Amino acid sequence: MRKLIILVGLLLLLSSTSVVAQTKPWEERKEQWQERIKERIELVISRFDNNKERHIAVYNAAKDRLKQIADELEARGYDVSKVRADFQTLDSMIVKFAQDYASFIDQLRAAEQYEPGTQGFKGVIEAARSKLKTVRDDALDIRHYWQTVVRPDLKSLRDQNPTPKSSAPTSSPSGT
Amino acid sequence: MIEARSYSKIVLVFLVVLMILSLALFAASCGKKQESTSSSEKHVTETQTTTGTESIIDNALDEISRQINSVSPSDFNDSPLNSI
Repeated sequence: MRKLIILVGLLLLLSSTSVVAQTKPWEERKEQWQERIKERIELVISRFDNNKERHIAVYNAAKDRLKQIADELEARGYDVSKVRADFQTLDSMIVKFAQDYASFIDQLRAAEQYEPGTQGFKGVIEAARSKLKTVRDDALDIRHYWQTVVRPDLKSLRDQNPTPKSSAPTSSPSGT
Repeated sequence: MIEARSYSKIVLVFLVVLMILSLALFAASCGKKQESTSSSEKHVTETQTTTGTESIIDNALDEISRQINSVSPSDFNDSPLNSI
């Protein structure tokens, strides 16, 4: 009987030490997992950042070209008030795109503060997803606005018969 | 003798008048030609300006369209978020 008690005691001791031994690797694994998720988030952010920089560069180039053509045609006596108004709207749309994008990145970075797999983490990722949809819609709006408003307004200038301004300098088109 | 003298005078006057008239006609025709040349030159310049402006607008339209279409809203698809 005494032997049996000693045997059971030994078994209990062994099992408890194995549990303690297993807890430490689990903690380590969890930390590794969290680290990996943080790395993934950073990778996703850098990928989106590249896209955002490309979009902003393209939008600004288009905006500058629009301003240039408006200046040039105005000097030739064209009424470019519509194109100038379109320019302002386009500018504010680009600003909104950049702001919404910054908000999306903030949301994504906030996910790094939560423990992966938790409800809080999932909630933050879902909120980031929703903000990303807004960014995508902004990009779509800019493209749509160019195609349906700015382009027709610019095209309609061809129908104008301008009265040349006497003092206006005869600007030559700059090759871009 | 007197009649012959008066005849030559009349012919002389006639010739002078004819010369003045032909000179006047020549001057008038020259002026008209110059006017028509300058007006046609003006017309050509105006047409060139209009055509030039149209091509400037067309070039800008093509350029901006190309720029806007070089980026796509699908660059912001949420599929990369699935890897997190």
